[in-house]
Amino acid sequence: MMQYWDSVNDLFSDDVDSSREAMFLRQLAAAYHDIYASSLAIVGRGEDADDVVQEVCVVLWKQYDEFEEGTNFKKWACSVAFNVAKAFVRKRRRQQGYGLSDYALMRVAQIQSGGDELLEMQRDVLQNCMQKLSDEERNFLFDCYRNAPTLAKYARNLGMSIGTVYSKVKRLRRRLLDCVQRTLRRGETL
Amino acid sequence: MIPPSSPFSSPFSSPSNNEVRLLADAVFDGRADRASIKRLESLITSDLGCLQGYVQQLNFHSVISQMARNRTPEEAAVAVLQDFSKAIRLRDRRERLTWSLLTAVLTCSLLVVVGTMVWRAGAFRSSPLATIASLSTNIQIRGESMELGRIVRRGKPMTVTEGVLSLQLPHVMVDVLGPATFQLDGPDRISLKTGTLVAKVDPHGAGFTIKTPTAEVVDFGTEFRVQHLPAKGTDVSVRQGRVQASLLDQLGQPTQLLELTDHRAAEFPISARTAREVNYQPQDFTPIDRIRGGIRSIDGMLRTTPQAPASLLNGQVLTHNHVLIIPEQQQVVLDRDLVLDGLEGPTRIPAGSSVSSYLVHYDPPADLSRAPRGAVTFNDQIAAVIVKTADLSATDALLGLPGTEFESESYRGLEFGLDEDMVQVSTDRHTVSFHFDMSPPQNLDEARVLVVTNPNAPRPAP
Repeated sequence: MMQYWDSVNDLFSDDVDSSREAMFLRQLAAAYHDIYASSLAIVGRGEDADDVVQEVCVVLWKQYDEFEEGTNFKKWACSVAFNVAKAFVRKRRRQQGYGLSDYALMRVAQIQSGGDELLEMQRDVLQNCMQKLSDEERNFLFDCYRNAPTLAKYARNLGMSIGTVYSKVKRLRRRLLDCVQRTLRRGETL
Repeated sequence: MIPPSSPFSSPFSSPSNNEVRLLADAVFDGRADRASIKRLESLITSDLGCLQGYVQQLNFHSVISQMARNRTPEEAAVAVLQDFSKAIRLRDRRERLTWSLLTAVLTCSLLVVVGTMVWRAGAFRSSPLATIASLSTNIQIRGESMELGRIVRRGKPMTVTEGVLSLQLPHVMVDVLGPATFQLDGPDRISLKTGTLVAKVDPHGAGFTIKTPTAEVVDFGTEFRVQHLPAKGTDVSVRQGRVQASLLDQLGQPTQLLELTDHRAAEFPISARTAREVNYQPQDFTPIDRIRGGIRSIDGMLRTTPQAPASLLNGQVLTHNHVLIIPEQQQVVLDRDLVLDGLEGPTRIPAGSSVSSYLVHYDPPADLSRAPRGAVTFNDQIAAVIVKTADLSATDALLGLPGTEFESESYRGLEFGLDEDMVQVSTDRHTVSFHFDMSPPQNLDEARVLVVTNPNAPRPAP
C-alpha cells in the first residue's frame, strides 16, 4: 500500500493539475455509491467495505492516467472495485480458513454489475421508506450503522445488551424491507 | 451475463431466500461463522433467486450505510481519500519514529524520553481551526474545561449544554447557543447536529457553510442564524446579507435551493420534502445580542452574561475570578451632544451618533487576593470609556439596562493612581484592556464603554 502514498499526496498538493484533480473528484463522487455497493457486494462485511473503498479510490487515482476520457468511469471504477475487493476476500479467506469461493464471488459480481437500475430504484424507494420510521428509530438505526465497528461499546452506552441491539436493528430492517417490497410490487416510481 | 431480477419481484418470497437475507445480514454485521458461510455458498451457487436476494440485501445495507453517514457523494469521496492520506502519513511517521527511537536509545535514553513526549504531544492532533473568543458566565461544555483563547480543532464534536460559546474562525465569528452539538469540519465549514448557531461573516469569509442533517447554508458575507432541532428540522434566518440554503435528502444531496436576503427566514422540516419561507422573527437574534452585542472577542478573565442583572448594587453580582462585560442599550441615536469626562479627558459625542453601551462590572469577594486582567475587542470603534461615578450615574438612564438598579456610591467608579485600576484603549480604538485593583472594604469597580455603531456619524471630539 505504501507505493500509493506519493500519488495520494499528489492529489492534495498545490502542484497537481487542478482541472485534472477536479475532474477525477467529480467522476469519483458521481460513481461513489456504486463503488461502495460493488465493494460491499464482494466483501460482505460493512466494516471491511470501508477499507476496501479507501483502497479502491487510491488505485483509481493512481491509474487515472490509464483511464480513457469519454469512456464510462463508473464501469471502470466498479471493475477496479471488484478486483480490489476480491483480493481482499482471498486474503481474508487465507487468514480465517473460510470464506466464499472465487466462483461464488464471480456470480455475485455478475449480478451486481447488471443491477444498476435496480440499485438506483432501491435507493429511491428505501429513502422514502426511511421517512416512515420515527425520528428515534431512524437515528438509532443510523447510529448502529455508523458505530458498527464498536457496536458492543455503543450498546453498553445505551445500557442495552448487544443482543438487544441486534434484535432491534433486525426488526427495523425487516420493516424497511417490507416497505421496499410493498412499494416495488405496487410499481410506485416515487 | 446473468440478468438482475425484476425490481417488482420479491426476492425473499421462499424460505431459502429468507434464509439468504438473514445470512447476508450476519455477513454484513460480521457475525457469520464458518457454517454460515458454507450454507451461504451452497445457496447462492445453486439458486439464482438466492444469489439475487443476497446481492439485493447487501445493496440494501449499502444504501442505509450511505444514508447513515449523511454525506454527499462528493464529501464521501474526498473524505475517503483524505482519511487514507492521513492514515498513511501517520503510519509513515510511526515507522520513522521507531527508527529514530532505536537510534536514540543507543545514544541517549534521556533524549528518547524527551523526543517521545514531544512527538506524542503533536503527532496525533488535528489542525487548529478556531479559537474561543468569548464565554458566558453560565457556560457548560460536556467533558471539557474551556478557556478563552483555547484552540478548537477539526473533526472533534463539541457539546455546549448551557450558555454561549463564541468561536473566532478566519473571517467568521460563530456564536453557539447551548444546548448545542457541533463540529468544525474545516476553516469555513461547521456541522450542526442540534442547537443554534449565529454566524457573522465578513466579506472575505464568503462561502462559509453550516450543514445540518436537513439543510446546508452557504453564506455570502452576512449575519445569519441556523437552528436545528432533531424532531423539527432546520430554521434559517438572515439578519443581513445573503445566504443560499439547500434542503438535503437522506443521502445529503440538495433537493431544493432557496436564496435568502435581509430579514428573511425559511424552514427545512425533517418530515417534509419541501423547504418554505416563513416570517422573519427579529427576536430570534435577541439572546445573542443580549449576551454579546457588538463584542468581537474577549481575552483574559472576562465573561459575558446571559441575563440582565436586576441589581448591580455593591455585593449583588459577585465576580469571583473574572470581570463581567454586560451589553446595555444598543444603537441609541443621541438626540443631543453627550458630554462627559472620560478616561481620555473631556469628550463630546455629537448628536446623531448611534451609540452602543457596555458596562464593565467587577465586584470580587473580599477573600480574593489577585485581580483579573483582560481585554475586550469591539466590531466598531470605541468613542469613550466612562470611569467616574458621576458620569456613570448620569448615563445610567440613557444607556444602562432598563430595570437594572445601579450603585450610586462614590466607590463605583475607578480609582487611578500608583498600583490602582488600569484601563487602556488601543490605538485602533477597537480594544479596551483592564486591570482592576481592589480597594477594600468596597471592591466594586465599574466602567462604561461607549462604541459608535454608525461609521458616518460625527466623530467624538475632545
